[in-house]
Amino acid sequence: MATTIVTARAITQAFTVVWGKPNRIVVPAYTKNDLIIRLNIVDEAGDPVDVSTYTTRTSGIYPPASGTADVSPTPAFLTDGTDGVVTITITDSNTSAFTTGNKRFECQLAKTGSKITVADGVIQFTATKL
Amino acid sequence: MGRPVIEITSGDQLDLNFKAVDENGAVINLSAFTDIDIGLWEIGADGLPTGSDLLGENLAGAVDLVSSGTTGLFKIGLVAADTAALAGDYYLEIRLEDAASLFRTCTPCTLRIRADLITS
Repeated sequence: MATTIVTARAITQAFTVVWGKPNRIVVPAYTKNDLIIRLNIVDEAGDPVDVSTYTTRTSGIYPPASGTADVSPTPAFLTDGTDGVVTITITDSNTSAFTTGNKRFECQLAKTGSKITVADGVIQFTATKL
Repeated sequence: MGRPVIEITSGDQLDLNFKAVDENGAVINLSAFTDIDIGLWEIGADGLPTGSDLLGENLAGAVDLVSSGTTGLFKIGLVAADTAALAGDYYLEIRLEDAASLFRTCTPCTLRIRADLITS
C-alpha cells in the first residue's frame, strides 16, 4: 500500500508586521486545534521594534458580524518585548465550538498615551470531527 | 487543493500508510507524540463529513508509528470488519497530539472503498 502524505500545519504561524501600519493577516486553521499566532513587529526598515513598554496587550477573535469576541487571548511577549515578538495562543478548547467559516482577528498593544493595532485579519476555520 | 484519495477494497485487511509533513514539506518527527487519532465518516450531500464515526482508532489501538515515527511515518492496520459493510467515498481525518498536548489536524483524506464481489 502506497504511503499517503498528509500535511499538518505547524502550531505556530508567524507573521511579520510593520509597526504603526495596517497589517492584515490571513490564517488558515482547523477547529479543535491549537494555534499560536506569532507577530514579529518591525519598523519600516525591517528592524525589530522594542514593544516592552506596551504592558496592556489585547487580542480577540470575533464573528464576522459581531463586536463581541468569541475568545480574547492576552498576547504574550516571546521574551520581554524588546525583540518585538508577540504571541497569541489559541487553544483547542477555544475553537471547539467553532464551525467552518471566517472569524475576524485583531491584536492591539497599549500603554499610557499610545495604542497601536499591530495586526488584524481573518482566521479561516475549517471544522474538524475529531 | 483536493483531498488525497486512498483506494481500497471493502473488507480488505491491510495497512494504510501515512507520512506526516508540515506546510513546508518537512517531515514531522512523531517519536514523542502522545497520540494519533484516525476517524472515518460518511460524506454528506454537501461534501462534508456527517454522522457518527464509522471507525475510530489511535495509538493505543490499531494506529502504530513506523520506525519509531522519526521519519513521520505511521500506519493504521485495518481488519476486514472495519470496512466490510462500507462502499463508496468516506472522509478520513487524522489528528496529531504532541508531547505538549497540542493538537494538529492533518489534511483530510478521502477513503474510496470499492465494493467487493467475494464476500466469504
